[in-house]
Amino acid sequence: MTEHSAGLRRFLSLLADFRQMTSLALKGVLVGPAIAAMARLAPPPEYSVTSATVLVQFASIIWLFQFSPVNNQSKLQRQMKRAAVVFVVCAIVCFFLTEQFTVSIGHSRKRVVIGWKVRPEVQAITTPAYTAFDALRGYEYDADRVWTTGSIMVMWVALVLTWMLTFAALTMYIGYFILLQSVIPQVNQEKS
Amino acid sequence: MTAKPTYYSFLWMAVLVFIVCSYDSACCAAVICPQHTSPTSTDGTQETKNLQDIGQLLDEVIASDALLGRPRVVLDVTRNSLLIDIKPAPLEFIGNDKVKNRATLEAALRIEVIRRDLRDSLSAETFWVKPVEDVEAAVNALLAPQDVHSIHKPSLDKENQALDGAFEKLQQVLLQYAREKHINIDATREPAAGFAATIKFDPYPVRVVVMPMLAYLVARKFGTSLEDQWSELTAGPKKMCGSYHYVAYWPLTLNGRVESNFDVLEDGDVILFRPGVGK
Repeated sequence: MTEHSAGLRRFLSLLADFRQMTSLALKGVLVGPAIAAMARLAPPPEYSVTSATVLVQFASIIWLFQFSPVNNQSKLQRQMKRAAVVFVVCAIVCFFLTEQFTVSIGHSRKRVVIGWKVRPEVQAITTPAYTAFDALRGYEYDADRVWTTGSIMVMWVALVLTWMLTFAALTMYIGYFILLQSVIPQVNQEKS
Repeated sequence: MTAKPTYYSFLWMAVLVFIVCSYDSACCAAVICPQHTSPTSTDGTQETKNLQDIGQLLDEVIASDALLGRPRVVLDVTRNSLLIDIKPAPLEFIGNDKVKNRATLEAALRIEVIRRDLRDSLSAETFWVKPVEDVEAAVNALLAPQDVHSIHKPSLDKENQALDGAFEKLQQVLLQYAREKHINIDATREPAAGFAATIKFDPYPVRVVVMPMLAYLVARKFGTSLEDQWSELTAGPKKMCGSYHYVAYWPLTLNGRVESNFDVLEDGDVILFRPGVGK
């Protein structure tokens, strides 16, 4: 059996075994972005970003099952630790970016991404009493009227990338865990 | 706003609406109501109303009403921009729904304003003359007496479609002109979709114009015109969000003009306008 078909077989066996506890963990990770989108935690546009995130997660699982060195347990453990570190770092950065560069629209939970460079005409009217956030509320939450389009785009890309990386890292972390707990023992059993 | 509405605007509008209603109710031959069924006068001759007949009255309304007479086509040479605003004004400003031909009157006022603006801004050009005349012809067709017994008379729907088409054609030639001359297009902005708010007036409907707060502050800071940035606010459900600056034109007996701000920050917000108190 070639390495490619073995990866596919491991992946398909995981899908077939989707009711198992380990698979349930992976399923939980996959629905995570959808739950976050419903809770209005995802970067806008929530549903597009969520769909893209789930695709990235799915690609991560396929990558993991296809290219992971299943014969090298210690290497897998190192990669699992790396995935955990990447997840924690990205989650912190994502949380920071969300707090600093997104604003709730009115009293709703819907958010809008802002930039860091305020437009000159808005800069001219902002004071400590009338901030850029007041200006944003003063133009129907259209961030492009308050911050430069370039700075908004940079922040949006940074936010979406860290968001996707967070969930991809979490998926990899769970995936490595599944490999170490279920697939590798199965491989060893087949060898013996 | 350069032209402030006064009692005269209400007076002239009342006169115009009164004439329309009179034609409608008295069934006289000189009609501007298309639903009228008596196309001949008492002496048997057909008397028609058209834009020329009511032109002076329209001019009075336009001159005294800041909203209906607001500039619709403005060439700003310094900014190299052309404002084009062809969209109709709310019919509530013409009269209540008992006035059967509010849409025609609105179109008549609109084309008069556009002709005035084009004469001011593009006096050296002639490309707009024919499209404007086409719109005026379409308005005249709707103002002309209608004979419901005549099977040859085009239906009102067709005439209304012709009017819309003429306005659309006028807009296209203006856009084409701007493109050819490399002039930037300014379009008036509608309020963005947002929260479901309800606009109410107490004790009765009043004319209110509104713009986003930031637009107001920026325009005031840089001394630019506010004219093309106002949107009319009518009673009823609206989609709005954020902070707005508004001007309400109450009669002088109710403390007159009120200028203030209001916020719409969640669904279900009710914005109530009261004279002298503001929102």
